[in-house]
Amino acid sequence: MTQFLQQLINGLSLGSIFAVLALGLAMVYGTLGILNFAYGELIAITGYTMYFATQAGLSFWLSALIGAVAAAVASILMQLLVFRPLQGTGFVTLLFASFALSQVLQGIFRQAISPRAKGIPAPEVLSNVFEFGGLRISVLNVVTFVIAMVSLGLFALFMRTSRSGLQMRAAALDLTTTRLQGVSAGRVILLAFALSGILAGIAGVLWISRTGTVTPTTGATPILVAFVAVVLGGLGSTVGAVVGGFVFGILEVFLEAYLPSGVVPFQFAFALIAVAVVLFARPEGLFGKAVEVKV
Amino acid sequence: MGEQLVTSSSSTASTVVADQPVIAVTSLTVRYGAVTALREVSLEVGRGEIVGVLGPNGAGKSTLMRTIAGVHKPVTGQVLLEGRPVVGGAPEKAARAGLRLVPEGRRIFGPLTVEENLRIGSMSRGSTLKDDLEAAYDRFPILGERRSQSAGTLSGGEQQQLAIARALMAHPTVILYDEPSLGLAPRIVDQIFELIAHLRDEGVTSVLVEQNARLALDLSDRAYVLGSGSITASGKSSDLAKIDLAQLYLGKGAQR
Repeated sequence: MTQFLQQLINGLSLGSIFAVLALGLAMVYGTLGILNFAYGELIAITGYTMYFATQAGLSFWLSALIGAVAAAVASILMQLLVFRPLQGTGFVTLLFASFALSQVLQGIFRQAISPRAKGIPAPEVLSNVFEFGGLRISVLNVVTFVIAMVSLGLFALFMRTSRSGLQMRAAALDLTTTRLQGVSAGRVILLAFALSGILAGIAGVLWISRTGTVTPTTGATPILVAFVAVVLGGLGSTVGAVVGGFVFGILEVFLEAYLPSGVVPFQFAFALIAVAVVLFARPEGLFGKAVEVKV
Repeated sequence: MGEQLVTSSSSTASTVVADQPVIAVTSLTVRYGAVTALREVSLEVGRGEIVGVLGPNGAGKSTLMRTIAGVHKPVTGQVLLEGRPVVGGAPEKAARAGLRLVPEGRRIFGPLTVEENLRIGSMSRGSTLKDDLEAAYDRFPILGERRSQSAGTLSGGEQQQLAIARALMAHPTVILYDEPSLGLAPRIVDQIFELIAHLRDEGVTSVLVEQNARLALDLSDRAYVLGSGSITASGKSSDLAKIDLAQLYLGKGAQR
């Protein structure tokens, strides 16, 4: 029982990062129908920004803040410089543009910074562990979970209560009809990329705090995780993305804990197989509507 | 952004400002890929008029409405709204200039509440005034009762009311109604048409697209008949009403 609770706590902490990650990817997909595979590079940009900021002598926390902002700025630039000029060219064109963007950014990190990992030492306090009824809970897990939950809460509040949030919810349902009400498409889309970038930045800080390093391909796992969570939750559903993130995070932790030691290296593969099984039973994902083809 | 539209562009400078058409469409051609949806369509809508646009399925009526509203970019020709060109591909601009489309199939935001749907209608006005919401609920009491319900749970007639109420939140000068009777019971259709007439009396210029030609000719002052992308007949609705509909749709109409 203690073992189970212990894994559940670890799973919730990891899942909360996945949830923030997935929500950021789902934001842009929901508004524009773009699956932005360069989203993972926003995590790397957060990481490198944190690396340079800490190298310059700034504190970890200030560096984290700047890193998150950098991801938001980078996300907005992606829209302005890459996706906006390609607007109206179709899903596959935009998908490949995002792949290309991802490769270009990884190349830049490799050539301009270094192919090797750069360390970003997290503060000592985060690695502290306190014991509670036989459970060992790290400060990092608690901080991660709290920051993720507060972020998700603020995001929900913004979408529920603000004018811009209402515009974005309407735009995600039917962009043309929303524009026919006088809502500027450009503004809504830019806001979607900004929010996507902020969420990537927050998830990036939490991710980097966990790994302690940044490499040119740091974004590879986060984008895969976000994509899987979004599909698991149901493409186009922000609630689904969040739930999908938690489910996938918990699943991964439990597989790692309970799989026979010989197959633990394959835990990620097993997690993906489990997701495939879920999608076999519910092709539209946990919270998705029956698939509609957008004309 | 309630612009006082009194200026006239050079192309209509010869007309007196008060007589300037609210909508002037000149030789509009719209294509979807290789398919020509509209061919050299011209029409005018004067202030305070109800103008009908009739025609069989697939004649291009919805395309014409959506092009006037700025959704589509025409290949040739242009749409002037109060003398200013409508930018194709930027429907938000026409919306801010005082035009509203009540689209075919109503296109309400089903998962959002009735009140949220109304709030979106007022987005071009900078803020949602409590008075506007109250006015909407006075006019459509059923929407007031269901204000916190998700709009998708409303009946077809209620959804049509919501679509019109959403348009009214912007205090529009022109409303384009695209098939407002579609899928509604006759009694409800009568109510909707009474409402359209009433709104005209309040000064809202209206364009009414209908497959149900009888209804449209009863309500409108003038009408145009569209057949496979071109205007095949036009004239006063009372004159058009005397002609056999099949003939009308085949293009043997009045003047032209």
